[in-house]
Amino acid sequence: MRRVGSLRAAMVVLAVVLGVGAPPAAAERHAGLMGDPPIAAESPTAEPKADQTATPEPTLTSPPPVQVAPTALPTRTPPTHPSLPSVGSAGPSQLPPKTPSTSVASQVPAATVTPLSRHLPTERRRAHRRRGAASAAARPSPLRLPAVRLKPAPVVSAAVQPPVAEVHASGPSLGVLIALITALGALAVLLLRVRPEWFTRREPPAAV
Amino acid sequence: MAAEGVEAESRLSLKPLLDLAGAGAGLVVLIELVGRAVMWARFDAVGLPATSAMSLQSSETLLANGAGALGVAIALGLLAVAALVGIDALLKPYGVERQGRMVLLVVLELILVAAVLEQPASWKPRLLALGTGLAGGGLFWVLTERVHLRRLVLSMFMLIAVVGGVLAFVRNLSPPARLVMASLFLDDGSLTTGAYVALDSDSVYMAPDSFNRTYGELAVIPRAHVRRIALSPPQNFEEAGRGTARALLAGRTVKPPYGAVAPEIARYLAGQSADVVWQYPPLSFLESAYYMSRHPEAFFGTDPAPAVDPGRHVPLEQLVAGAREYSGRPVSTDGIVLRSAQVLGGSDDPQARLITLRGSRDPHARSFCLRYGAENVPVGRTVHAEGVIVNAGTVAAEGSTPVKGIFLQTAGNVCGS
Repeated sequence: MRRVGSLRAAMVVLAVVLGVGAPPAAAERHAGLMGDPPIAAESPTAEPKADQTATPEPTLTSPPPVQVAPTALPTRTPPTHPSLPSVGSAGPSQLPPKTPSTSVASQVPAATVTPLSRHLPTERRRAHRRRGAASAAARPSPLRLPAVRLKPAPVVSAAVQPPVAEVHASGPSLGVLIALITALGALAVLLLRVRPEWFTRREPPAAV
Repeated sequence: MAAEGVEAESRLSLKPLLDLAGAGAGLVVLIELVGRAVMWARFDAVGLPATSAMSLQSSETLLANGAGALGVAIALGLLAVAALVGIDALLKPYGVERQGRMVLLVVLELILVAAVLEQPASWKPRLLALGTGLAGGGLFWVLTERVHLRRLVLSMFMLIAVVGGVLAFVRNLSPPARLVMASLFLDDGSLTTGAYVALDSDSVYMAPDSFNRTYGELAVIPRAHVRRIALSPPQNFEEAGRGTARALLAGRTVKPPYGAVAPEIARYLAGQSADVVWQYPPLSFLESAYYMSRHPEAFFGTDPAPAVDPGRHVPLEQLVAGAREYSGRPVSTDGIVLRSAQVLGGSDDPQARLITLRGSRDPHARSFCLRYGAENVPVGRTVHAEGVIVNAGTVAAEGSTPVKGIFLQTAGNVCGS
């Protein structure tokens, strides 16, 4: 381990001397070893990351570009296939041309945009990032929907509930009667099975 | 010889199948017959022209109704068949299978008696069902002596199905009848309800009701006038003014939560629904019928009229537009007398008049009410009326513009004070 560490230090020194800088992967690993979050992998236009403990907010993965002085907007997207004009349109040749994208992000070169945090020391960078996360949490997200306040269910008091019809039985139900009759029949059949002689006529003994 | 024996056995083995096929075909015919009888009984029970209504039914409807009516009888027949086979197998070694069959027959007849007495019906249909049951039992007993067990089993099943069909007919012959509730949303924005009868490509056939009481009318509404049809599960329908039979044994009496509507009041209100002033059968309000039944002396007697809350003085147009919201309690309104016509029939008072009021702001809003007594109200005068909204619907065409109206039952039939 000590040999590997000294080799890596020698490579860093050599790179500084030669003026080419350390390889990005090595720099990231170095920064990671030092407990500093990687900053070289961040996109210049990326939003500051929120704290992991903060409540996640629904945000767009790629925010819509800000339109600068939009010209006349096309009212209908032209069909993708020229031989199939869209219903109700005059045809692809008469449709207005598509307005070119004039977003700020597309006009500014990406290399010239450097986050402010790159010029700050580590501790200030962390504080700046935390403030950014807090401000991001406080800023309304473009996808944040208005809070839907559900009305509480109306409480129906017993006084307004409709009364239930009263049902009075005037005797045993038909099911009870059928069960009773069937049970009596089964008893009679059982008696026939156990004592068949009770239900058969005995032949008188033949005269000698 | 051996080949002849095999051929003879195969010929013999087809007999049970033929018996079964014959019984199956007979059962299908029986199901359709029972369906026809049951539906006729339902229509007759609510005072509809039953034969005319039956001519509108499809064979699928008849089969479905017959199968529903015979479901219990078929289940009972299968159980009885199983019992017959079991009793024969159990008692044959002891030589008492004949006595066992007698026990089974007595059990089935007793069940029939209990079922007949449980039905809310009059004595004539009850005796019809009992007579059919006794005849079926006698035929069964004759067959036990003469036919093979297989045919006896099939015959017994069919006999039970027939007796069950007669019992279903008897059960449906007395009100209330279980009929599908139909709600028709008409193209003029009004709604009418009633017992569903039939539907074809041109028309909807229904028996309009006045708070679940039909009044002997089979209405035909063109499909072109109907925007939407909603069918609800079967409900109990009665004929207005007709009493219901009671069960003798094991019956149930239901006490309605809001009280009962007297047959006389029901018949009177049904008469207002059937009046020719309505283009379509009007909607009737159950709450109003209950309210009037709780105050019969105020509406149809000599008691003073119930007090009307000052907050329930509503313009006539508003009453017509939101009749349901104002039903069930007295309201007061003002209207201009448009017509005052003598009621020629259906009233005990020869001086009764049907007053037609119209709204002061909207001339297409109508209110009908009765006025008894010698004193008339002149046409064109603005009069005051207090009462309960009974019906709401479209008035028979007086022009191209649809006219909506209500029937207001005033206390003591004094319309236009």
